Order: sequence, then C-alpha cells, then structure tokens
Amino acid sequence: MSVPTEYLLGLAAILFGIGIAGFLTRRNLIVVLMSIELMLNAANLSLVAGARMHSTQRLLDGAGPDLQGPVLAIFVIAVAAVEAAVGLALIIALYRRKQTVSLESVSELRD
Amino acid sequence: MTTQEIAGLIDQTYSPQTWAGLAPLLTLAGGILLLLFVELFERLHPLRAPLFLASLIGTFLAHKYAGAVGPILGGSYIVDGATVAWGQLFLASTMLAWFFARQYYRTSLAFLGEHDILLLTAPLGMTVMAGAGDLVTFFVGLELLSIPLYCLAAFRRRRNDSVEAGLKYFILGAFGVALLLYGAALTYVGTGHLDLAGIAAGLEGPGRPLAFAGLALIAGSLFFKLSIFPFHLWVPDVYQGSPTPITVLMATGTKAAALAFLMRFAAVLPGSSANLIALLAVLTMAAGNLGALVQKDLKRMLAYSGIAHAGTVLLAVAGTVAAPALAGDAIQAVLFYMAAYIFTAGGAFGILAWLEADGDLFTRIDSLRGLARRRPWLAATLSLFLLSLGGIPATGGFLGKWLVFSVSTRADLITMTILGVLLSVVALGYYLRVIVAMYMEPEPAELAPPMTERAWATFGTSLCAWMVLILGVLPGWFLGRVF
Amino acid sequence: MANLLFYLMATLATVCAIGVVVARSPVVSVVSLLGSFASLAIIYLLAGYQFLAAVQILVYGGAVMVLFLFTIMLLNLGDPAVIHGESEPLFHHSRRTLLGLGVAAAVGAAGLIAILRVAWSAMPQPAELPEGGLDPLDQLAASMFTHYSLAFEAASVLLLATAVGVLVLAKRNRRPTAEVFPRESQQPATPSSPPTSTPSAGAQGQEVAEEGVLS
Repeated sequence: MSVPTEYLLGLAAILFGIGIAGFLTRRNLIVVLMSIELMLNAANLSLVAGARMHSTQRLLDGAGPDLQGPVLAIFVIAVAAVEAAVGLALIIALYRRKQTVSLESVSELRD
Repeated sequence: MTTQEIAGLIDQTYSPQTWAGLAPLLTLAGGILLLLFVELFERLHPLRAPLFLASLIGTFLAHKYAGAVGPILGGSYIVDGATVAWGQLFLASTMLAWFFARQYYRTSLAFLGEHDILLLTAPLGMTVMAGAGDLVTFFVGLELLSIPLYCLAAFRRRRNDSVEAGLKYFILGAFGVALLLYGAALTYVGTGHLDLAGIAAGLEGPGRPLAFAGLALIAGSLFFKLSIFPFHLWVPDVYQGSPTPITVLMATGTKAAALAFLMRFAAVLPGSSANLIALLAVLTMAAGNLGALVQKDLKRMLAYSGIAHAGTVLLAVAGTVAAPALAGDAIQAVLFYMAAYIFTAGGAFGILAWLEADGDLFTRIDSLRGLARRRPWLAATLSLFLLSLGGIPATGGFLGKWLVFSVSTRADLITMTILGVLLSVVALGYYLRVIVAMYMEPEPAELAPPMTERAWATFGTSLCAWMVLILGVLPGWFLGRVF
Repeated sequence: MANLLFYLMATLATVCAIGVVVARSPVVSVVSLLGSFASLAIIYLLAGYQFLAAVQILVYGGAVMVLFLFTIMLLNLGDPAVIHGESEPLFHHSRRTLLGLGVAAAVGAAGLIAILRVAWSAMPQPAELPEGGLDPLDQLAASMFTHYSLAFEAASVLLLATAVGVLVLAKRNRRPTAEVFPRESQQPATPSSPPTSTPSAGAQGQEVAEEGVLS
C-alpha cells in the first residue's frame, strides 16, 4: 500500500474526534466506554502510521524496522482490554445500586 | 535471530546492576503474589497484616541498599536518586493508607484481603512511573497505579457515593489515558522516539509541530492526574465519595507519582512553555483556595486544599522548565514539598477517616466545634496538620513552600511567585476557621462524641505528626538522606 | 489495489465509528465498534503490521466485544426503552452536546492542521514492504523481553490486579451474613442542619441489600 502517512494520520484524527464527540455527548455509560475504545484505536492507528514512516527511513539506511510504535500499540491493546473489564464491572456495580447506566446518575455535582 | 544472538542480548540486558535496580519492584510484586496465595486458605488469613508490612519494609530496604544504579533495561527505567526517594515516599503513603484502613470498613468485609492486594499494587505502579525513561513504561505504570485505585474508590460498593466516585474517577481517568496515548502517538510521529532522551533530540526535526501537539496532550493528561486548573473539577466528588483511606492514597501518592514523572518530562518541554505552566499553577491555586473557602465539609475542604497545593508545587515545575540549570534544586524542592504534603495531608485525612467511623456527619466543620474539649490530642494533632498545610513556620509545609517559591523566584517567574505567596496567605483563612471551630466554639449539645479507639490509626496519625515536626525543624535530616 | 482497499476500509471505519456514537441501541453500537475495529485491523495489515492486526482481531474482536455484549445482555440493556424510556433523549441536553461537538471538531481540526503542516515539509513516503512485514515477531519478542521487559512484567501484574479488582466490584457477596455490621444503619445526630441536606446521609440511607438484583 502506498497511501501517504498523512492520510493515515488524518483518519486517526477523525476517529479520535468522533470518539471525543461520543464521550462528551452520549448519556449511556456503555457507549461512553466504547467511545474511549475508539479514541485508543485512533492512537494505535497513529502509532502504526508513525512506525511505518520511521521504518521506511531506517530500512533505506539498512537497519531493521522501528519497533517502538508497534510495542506501544500492543500494550495499548492489552490495557484497553483491562479498562473495558474494569469499566464494565463498575457499570455493573452502579446498575445494582441504581438500576441505570446513565451518565447523569454519576455526574451530578453535590455542591 | 539466532539462539546465540538472543542469549547474548539477554546476558547484556540482565546484568547484576539491572537486578539491583529492579529489586524494590520485585519485592513488591513478590509481596502481592504472597498475599494472593494467603487469600486461598482461611487459616493463613492472620498472616495478611504481617505480610503486608513485611512487603513494604522489604521494599524500603531494597530501595535503600540497592540504591541508585542509573539507567537500566536500555534506558527504559532510570534508577537515580530521585526514583529511590520517590519510591520510599510512595511506600510511606501506602503505609499510611493501610494504617487508616484498619477497622475502617464496616461493609464489604469479605473483600478485605483483596483490598490489601490492590493497595499494594498502587505503589508498584507509582514507582514504575517515577523511574520511567520512556512513554511505554510510563503508560503501563500509570495504568498499574490507576486501575487498582478505580476499584478501591468503589470499594464500599453498597454505597451509592462510593460506586459513583469510582465510576467518575474511572471515566475521567480513561479519558485522560486516551489523551495521553494520542499525545504519545503524535510525539512519536513527530520525533520518531518514545524515550524521553530521543524525544528531546527529535524535537529539532521537521516533525516539530506534531511533536508539540503531542507533548501538550501528554502534559494535559499529567495535569489531570495532578488536578491542575482546567482539569480539577473531578477532585472534590471523587475524594468525598471514596473511602477515606483510599483518599489518602489518591491525594498524596497519586499526585506524587504524577509529579515524579512530570519532573522528568519537564526536561523535554520547551522553555517557552514555562510562563503558561506558571499561569496554570497560579490559576490552580486560586481555584483550590476559593473553592475551599466556601466548603462546609472538612473532607471536601481538604480536597480543594489539595488542588491548591498541586498548584503551588507546579510552580517549581515551571521553574525547572524556565531554567533547566535549576533542575537539581527543583527536584529537591518538589521532593521535600511532597514529603511534607504526604505526611500532612495523609495525617489530616487519616483523622477524618477516624472521625468518620463514628458517622459521616462528623466530618462537617460544624460538628467539629468544641472538639478540643472532647478529644484534646485529636484536636491538637489536626491543628498541627492544618497549620502545616497553611505553611506556618516550624512545620514541614512552611519549608516546602519556601523551597518551591525560591526555585520559581530564581527562575525569574517573579509575578507568578508573588501571586502564589498571596494566595497561600488567603489559604490560611479557611484552615484557621477549622481551628477556631475546634477550640473556641461551644460544643453542640446533641452531638454524641466520637469515642472509637483504633490503635493502627492512632499510630499512623502520630507518625504523621512527628514527621511534620521533624521535617519542619530538621529539614537537613531529610534532604541529607535523599541526596 | 491495496490503496483502493485502504480507502474502502477508511470509509468503513469512519462510518462505523459514527454509528457507535449515534446508534440508539447499545447492541448496534457494539456491532458498529466491531466493524470499526475490523477495518482498522485490515488497515494495519495493509501497512505491514501483521502481528498487530492479528492481536487487534483477537483481543478487540474476541475479548473486548464479548465483554461488552455480555454486559449489555446481563443488564438487559439491548432495548433502549428499558434504560431511558422511549422519550428520553440519547444525548445530554443540547448545550452540552453542542459543546462536545465543538470540542471534538476543534481537536480533529487541530490534529489535521498540524498533520498537514508537517506533511508539507518532507515526510518520508513509504517504500516497498520487506518480506515478513514491518513487525517481525522475533525482533518484537526480543525487544519486549529485553528493553521493554519492565513494562511487560508490569502489564502482567496489571492483569492480575484487574482480575482481583473486577472480582471485588462485580462479585455478589461471598458471605452475605458477615457483611452487615449492626451499626450500619445508625444515623448520627446532626448538630445544625436537617439530615436531608447532607449528601452522605442520603447515600447511607440507601444501603439496601444488593441481593435480588441480578441474582
């Protein structure tokens, strides 16, 4: 694939923006969690784009591909799974207390 | 890759020096595993407390004797004097939280073993954060600190406020992590590096704008953990809803960990951002102090005061960004400030945890009236902590402030320093209000006095009081030990 | 050909991402999210990251999606009428929605502008892919177990702590009788204000047994 790096970065920026929009506007906590997953994926796509770009330079120089990006991306995927597990457990705990998964049941300020 | 190459790589990586640097982390991880093992058998449950303390003490000794061995694992973990000192402070913070958690809970008692395991995981993450030399290690350390805290904040899961606090902390924390990762990715695209040294070098390249956007996002997520001005609104709710021993850890340990990495990260930030950081510091102090002035609940007041303190210490960060030559002094000032803050705020929240065991309403300032007559020692200790938070001389809080302001003055951030000093004086107002209520106002008639005796909490509180005094009167003792 | 596939997948990923945010039913959101993840995996593959693509499908498509679906089914949230009632809005009240969209658009636009500014100064453009892609497993493993071994081990402790934490949060009571302390329901006397004005009093009053829900 010979798509320029900036297209991949642009796609990542769009996905990140959509993720932020979902995070800030939706009321359903599960969808809010999904929006965060979208943002993490946008970060991963940027990492891939960057790694491919920097690897190109290194391969031309005769060195191996740049691995920092993929390594962080793998850690991000692992941590995304962890966050999903903890987030959903918290949502279950909230549902037991209040029978709702609406963000408003959490975000009301008490002062 | 051939087998020989792999063997060579492994020999080269895992030198005795590496093991020495990792020793404290391995001790903590070993403690966690042993605690999990003990959970399996009901008969071994009495071993929980000694095991927990032994892990902390063992880790402390490992920090002390392994010492600063320099960068290990190819520079992804840096064990310098600062890492060792931070690591010990994190242990102190965890120990205080654990002391105050003894006999605190009245629900979820079946999960107390898990509580201790999660509590012991947090300092592991903090230490990894403090020593991280690249964003990968930092990111995993941050998660290792945050995930147990999300669960612990919601630990009293029968209570709405605790579950809400955990969820709120989680949602905002996960958002912060997403920002951090996108920032790390942009920095990586711009500079080609995820390690701090490489980023600093790569900032000269053509990817500068992208890298700066990334650095700003990373700094933003650090500021979120540190509760700096636009990102401070979550603090009072989360602190109030969480179990108070966990609030101790959040208010002291988490902040110290974010600050520890921020001090490393400051070396990467461009000098031109110093004014912005100083401005944020002053705005944070203003937001914290003004918020604290109107609070009726002592726990919320201390949360706002914690925001103000984060702002104060951020001035030292601004100082080291403005004048990198001051980095040594700045790290010393920040370490001292946070050491004093850990024991001061830790002690104050600990007393709250104690009062709370007699019912939540005792944390209201109204219900503290006349406390000096009912519990003279308790009132005296709480006054000591409040005076230290306010920065009265002869307490640790005063010297911390003094060191921080001297760094920011020498870095030529004069205006912001003056504003900071003025705001610190404003802060005295609400601390004194509590002391006045305890000593000069009549005791409300219908109030049942808190009478519970809790040995661990008493021990923790007196330890804090002694440390606040020692740090205030003999600061050289601490500073000589650290460097 | 590969380029065409990329544009197709990029479009699909964007459409699915929008679907996640605007879908009324959480189940539709989950399926959209899955579509977005799958298209991203194909993009990773096209960019030369085979292992990452496999992990993306395995962990996201396998583990995370199942977790989401499981929770939605467990709490019976598939039908939006159950959560909000038919007339309840999907989004926060309009001012906050506008603010959110504004922030999102600003972040997206700032990102795009920064990217274009960099792209204008020569970004190295991709050449032919080497055999075995850009993330050869042997080198990836070597760097994971040497340079990044601390992060790797910390991640393993993180998974352990997560298992413990999730158990604490989501498990029903282990020994239900031992949980309630006699003093739990006692309300301390309020010196100056009525109990309704204090938030914690309300929270404590609501401490009912959690059995019954979800059991």
